[in-house]
Amino acid sequence: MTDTPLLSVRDLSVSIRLGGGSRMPILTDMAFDLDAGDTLGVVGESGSGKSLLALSIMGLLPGVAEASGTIALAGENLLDASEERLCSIRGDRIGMIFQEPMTALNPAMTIGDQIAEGLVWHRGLFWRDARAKAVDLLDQVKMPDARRRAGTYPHEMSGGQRQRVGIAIALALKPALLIADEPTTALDVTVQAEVLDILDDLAREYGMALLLVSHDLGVIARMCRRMLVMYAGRRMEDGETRDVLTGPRNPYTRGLIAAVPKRISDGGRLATIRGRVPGFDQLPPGCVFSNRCPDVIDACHAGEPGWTSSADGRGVRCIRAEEEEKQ
Amino acid sequence: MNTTPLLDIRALSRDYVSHSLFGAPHHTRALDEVSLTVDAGEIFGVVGESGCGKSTLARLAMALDSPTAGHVIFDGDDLFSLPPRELMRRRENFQMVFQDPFGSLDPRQKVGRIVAEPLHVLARKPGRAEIKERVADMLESVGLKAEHAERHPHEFSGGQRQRIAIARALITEPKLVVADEAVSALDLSVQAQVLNLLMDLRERRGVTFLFITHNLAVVDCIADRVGVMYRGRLVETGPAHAVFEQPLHPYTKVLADAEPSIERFGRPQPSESAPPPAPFAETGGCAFRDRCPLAIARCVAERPELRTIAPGRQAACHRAEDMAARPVSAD
Repeated sequence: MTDTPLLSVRDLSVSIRLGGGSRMPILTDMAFDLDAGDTLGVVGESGSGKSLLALSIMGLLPGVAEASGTIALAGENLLDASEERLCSIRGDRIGMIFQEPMTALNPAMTIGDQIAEGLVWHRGLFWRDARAKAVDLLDQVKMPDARRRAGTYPHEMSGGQRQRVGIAIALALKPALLIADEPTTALDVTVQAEVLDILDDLAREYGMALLLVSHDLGVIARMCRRMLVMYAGRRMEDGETRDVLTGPRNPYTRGLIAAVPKRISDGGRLATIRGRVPGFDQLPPGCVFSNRCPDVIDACHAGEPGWTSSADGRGVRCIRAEEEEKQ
Repeated sequence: MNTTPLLDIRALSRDYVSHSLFGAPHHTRALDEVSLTVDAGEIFGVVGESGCGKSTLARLAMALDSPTAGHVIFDGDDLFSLPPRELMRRRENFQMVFQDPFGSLDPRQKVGRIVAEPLHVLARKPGRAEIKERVADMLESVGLKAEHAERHPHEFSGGQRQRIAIARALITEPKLVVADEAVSALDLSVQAQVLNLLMDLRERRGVTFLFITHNLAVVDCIADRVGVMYRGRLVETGPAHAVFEQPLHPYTKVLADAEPSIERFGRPQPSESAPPPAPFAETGGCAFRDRCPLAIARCVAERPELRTIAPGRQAACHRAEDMAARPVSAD
């Protein structure tokens, strides 16, 4: 552990401007650190704000969103940075891989040029050299017949191949931080396994920090040393992946793990979390999970529990976990 | 098992023809002589990756498409030799739930009308009051409320919409429901609720399910028997637990090993991961041989047919006996 982590998010709140001057908070009190070369998995269901978190680090929030707090990359607060400065950071220092390899690529540009583009803009390479580098990168993401493939267009490829191109683009500038938002969700399991292995190999080789956003606990278990569980724009629990998945402290994390489909004995049923993920305008008072929580007590409705960090590198947001900590 | 199966699929094949502007039309065999049976009251899972023909199988089992060859025998009737009017009459006995709960419900109709729609094909169309009552009953039995009939689909979440789609499929009291990736688009906590609902419906109403998915864990959870498909062919069938515990086809093992699990931390051993898929060579032999860790010369020369390896278990692999002799994996 170095003194300053590569990425340090503190008190990050993001809200959306609504008509009539009101604002709807989406992300509330987000905070985490990510060291150089480390891996962090962010897990949550749809509507938990995990993609918005990824976008806010990239500085790609939509115009109606407003962020406060700090997102410090190697000490520099990205929320204060000018658009010009962000442009030079994006791609160069932070790379991003998107979920939909179909829509994330430019259909009218060869994949070689899409990979080379960043090298030309950020590194000042000549197109000729950048294109040669692009072929190397395609080789590294194990694209068969890379030289010929560099001259083809995205529509000529399968989903897994497109996602490899997405990885090659993100890796071209060897960013210190790689953000992958559901990078393998659209892929078949065997292709997913290959893409995850490529991502893992290259992140290790380049010493990149990886922030992996996923709804799939299995993918997080495979790829990430630490994990962060999100619900309704809040962090509910974090810690080392193995610790969190084998000994969850927040009832939401427990519910998620229990709901993972698995073999059950005859006549048995899967554990479920009652109700559904509430919209951001329908959050219950007090703890945001209180209306679905199986362990709810009166105090949960009184006020939102704070974040409790413990000495073993874990943190949790739950009144009852706080009590256990005191005992 | 001496009773006749509810659904008997026999040597079903489907070719898709793509016409190019120049040159001869190109035939793609999406489904290649698939045979399987589903008993009444059973949940039969079909797993495979995209392009393996599992959705084509679903469409044919529902008689939404005609096969190039083969038969679908539902409850004793060959669906494709029935006159159209007769086939339409039979449709009340088999219904379908689609993957996308956003695309499969008409946004302009109220939920009550959406759910009631299949009733209009019944030979004896129920009266208005009866329809209303049946819709209300059905909504309640899938965990919604009777008054939801007055709302529009956009007012519901993904999980609730999938319940509406299930209610619509069940309103004619079908014997068979084909669910094509019915829970794939749902969040984890909601997915578990819908899976439990399907198990409840099987128990309470005796509905038979042909459950199609790419997710092995989901099949392992709800299916009694499973069929694994690869490139249009059924490569393995058997009781779900046995198939995943001791696969008899190397592809099943590759699939099971690639599936992320919350009990496996970090990267699996390199031996577990699959070799990359090679371009499809249209020459005899086993379609999986280029990715197969156990491939031998015979796999190139001779296409393995689905055969019984152990009681209740079939596999289309020349080396299934060697697979059976392997020790059961730890997980």
